Formats: sequence, structure tokens, C-alpha cells
Amino acid sequence: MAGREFTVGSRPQVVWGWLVILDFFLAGSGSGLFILSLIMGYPLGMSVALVLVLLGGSLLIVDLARPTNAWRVIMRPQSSWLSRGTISIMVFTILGIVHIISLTASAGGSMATVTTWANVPGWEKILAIISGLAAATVALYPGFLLGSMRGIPLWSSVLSPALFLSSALIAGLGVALLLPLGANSLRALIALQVAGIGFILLQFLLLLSLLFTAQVEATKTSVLRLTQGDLKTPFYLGLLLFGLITPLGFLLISLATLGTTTLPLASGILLLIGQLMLRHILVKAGIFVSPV
Amino acid sequence: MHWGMVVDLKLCIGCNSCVDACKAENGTSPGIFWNKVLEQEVGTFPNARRVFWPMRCMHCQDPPCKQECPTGATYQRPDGIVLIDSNKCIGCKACMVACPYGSRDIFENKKGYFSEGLTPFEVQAYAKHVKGAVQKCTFCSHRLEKGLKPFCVDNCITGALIFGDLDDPNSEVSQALRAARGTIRLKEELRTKPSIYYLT
Repeated sequence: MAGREFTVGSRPQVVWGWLVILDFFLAGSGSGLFILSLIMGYPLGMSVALVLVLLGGSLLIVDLARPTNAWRVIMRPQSSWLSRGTISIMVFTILGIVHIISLTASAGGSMATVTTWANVPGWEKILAIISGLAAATVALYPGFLLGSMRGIPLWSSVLSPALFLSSALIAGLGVALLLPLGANSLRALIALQVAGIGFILLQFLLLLSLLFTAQVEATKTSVLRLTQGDLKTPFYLGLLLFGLITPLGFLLISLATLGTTTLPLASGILLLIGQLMLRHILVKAGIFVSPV
Repeated sequence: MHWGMVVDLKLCIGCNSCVDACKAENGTSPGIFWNKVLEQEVGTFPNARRVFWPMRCMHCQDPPCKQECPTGATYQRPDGIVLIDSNKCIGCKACMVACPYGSRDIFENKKGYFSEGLTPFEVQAYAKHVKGAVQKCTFCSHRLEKGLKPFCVDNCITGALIFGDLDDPNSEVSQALRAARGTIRLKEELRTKPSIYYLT
């Protein structure tokens, strides 16, 4: 029986709400977009990615009950995933700005051009790797943050970081599909769509693992909320149907027909909606195991 | 020295005197309970009964709240008591999500219990609390400094709450644990190592 405040039983996590969900979504989209843009050599994508990550970080500051103390958040990287995540965002921002400036210069001042890596000097490739690792940390840290919460078994699973990374890549890809790809656009668009199909299938596997490996009572309650309870609409409609299955279909048709930009655009929007829903349901579905 | 508590579940009658005492001593605002008593129904009719679980911060020896706190506001004293430096707290609530026992609250609303405004007691009590900071049971550390026990322990009418130094073999808590018929700590599988033991 689910516990009310003064009875024994599991209870839903209600501490973190929409501001945290939006932060996770924006930071995830930004970091995923940065990684994909890095691979494509696409400064415009990297710039948009930086804006998204910083926007997400700003929402996190707004969510603080004492924002004037926000600078203290980096004080315990030895144990706190919030500290580590904030530091990774700071490192990512600095490296990202440097990399965007140098890559734009290499591309003759055009941000909307997809650059081939053969033309990029060695030191810039090293910078790319380091900034890519920083972006990956930003993508992963919410999964590790939730995964470290011992009292919420749905979150404290090896699947959390994997789900958040897959979500970051899918959301980043969603944004990328909405951006003008400039020169080499057809090749880049094809690559994005192929990657999108792979990422979506991976996320299906991760979601199935999450649903079917629920052992602890609190996790089963979480899964029931997703499949039969108050979160079933965002789960089935928002995430599965509109967020994964429909864009998967659009991407397959678009690849098969090498058609117009309409289907990739529509896929991009739906993928973003789906990943926002994923973060919403993961945060809201967290249930504290009964203390007794 | 390691401060700890023993709760005798056979003596707890769920009167909530400890809850009221904590509120009186620490002046917590409406909706915030540093101390709670959870009810549990066990058995089936006609042999159903209720068990009462007094809950507060477990002052864990491996506190997940301290691990997740990004500012170092949550810290642990050498005597085992886990406290919060409110001036360092940023109100991110990571510790509230990290605590498996639901022991923490955030002081965000300075409303009092009565519609006519804050009482003189509330004015004085709220002055000790930092708005936007997380707060929780402190094992009445301000009373411990004076050689007194936590107020909830002093006010327990059945003697279900026993407090003392777990490292002292002659303390009340150590004697109670030695004489115990059965002892548990809550959610031990989460590796928090609580300092509160329950006698079953």
C-alpha cells in the first residue's frame, strides 16, 4: 500500500519538479547536440548546444531556494554529482567556446558549414576530443546523479546513465534536424537520420530493460505508474508513440525516399517532445522505498 | 563517542509526544516535522494490530545526504551527529532526495500556525531558521552541550526512546541493545549505517 505522510509505505518523489526536468532536458539536448556537431565539424550546432546547456543551468539556479549561494555548488566534487556536473558544464562551456571559434575560423568564418575533419589541424582534433569528453560528462551526469539516490530503486540502476546518454543523443539529434546544415548538407542529413534510427532502437531496448527488470516493490510501483497509472499518457503517447515510433517511421521513409526536409523536420520536433517526456516521467516516477 | 538512539517498538504507543516536544523545542513551521511517528498495520483481522515507528534523522555513519550535498553544508561531527550549516546551504534539495528516510524538510514558508500572524514564540523560533535552507533533527545538539538529552527522549511518556553513547558499554543505549530480544536498523541494505536502533 502506498504510504501517506504518517503511514508506513513507499512514497513518490515530489521534491524535484519541472525546473529540474527542464534543466535535464536542455542540458541533455545541448550536450548531445554538441557531440553530434563535433563529429560533423558543425560550429552552428555547437553554438546552439552551448546556449541550450547554459539555459538549462540557469533554470537550475532559478530552482535553488537560496540562489545567492549558487557559487558554492562546486565545492564537493569528491562526492557530489551536482558538483561534478556543474564543473563539467563550466569546463564544457570554456572548451566549447574555444573550439567553436577555432573551427569557425578554419571553415573560413562560416558557422553553418559542416567541415571535413581531414582539413582540421592536429591540435584542434585534440581540443575536439577533450571538449567532446566534457560534453559527454554533461550528458551523463544527470543519470549518475539520479543513480546515486539510494532510496529510489528506479533511479539507482546502471540503466540511468545509459538512458540519459541515449536521451541526450536523441534530443541533440532532434535539434540538429531543425538546423540548416549548409554545405555537405545531404550527406550530413543522411548520417543524422541513420544515427537517429540507431539511437531510437537503443532507447527502446533500454526502456524495455527498465520495465522488465523491476524487482523491488517501489520500482514495480513506478513501472505501474508508467504503464497503468497517472504517467501512462506521457509514457505511451508522449514518449513511445509521438516521441519514438512516429519519428522512427518518418526517418525510415525519409531515408528510403531521400525526400524533402519536411519529414526530418517533423522527426526533429517529435524527438524533442519525446525526450522531454522521458525526463519528465523518469523524474516523476521516482518512488522512495518504504523506510520500514 | 558515538551518539545514538534505541527505540523500543513494544513501548511506543503512537502518542506523538515526541513529535510535539520536538516542535516545541525547535519551533518548526507548519508542515515541517523533524520527528514523525509512522503507523503500520500488521496482521489480518481478527489479529490485526498497529505498530508505531518513531522516525527522525538516522544520523547515519555513511550519510547519503552528506555525499550528495554539493556545498558541504551537510557535515558530520566526530560524535556521529549529522548537522547542516544553513549558511552554506543553497536549497538544491539534493539531500532531501538522497535521504531514504524522508528526514529532511526545507524551510521556505514563514507562515505560522495561526491566521492572526506569527505568535511571539514563532517569531523567536523562526529567527533561528534560515529561509531556503534544508533542516532536520539535530539530536538536540544544543541540549547535549548542556548535558541534557534530546527533548523528544525526555518527553516520551513510556520510555520507548533511549539515548546515549553507543561507544560506551555502560550507557543506557548499550545496555538496552545487549538486553534486546531483537534489533534492527532501517534500510541497512542501503549501507547508510543508521545510529538509531529499533527493538522489535
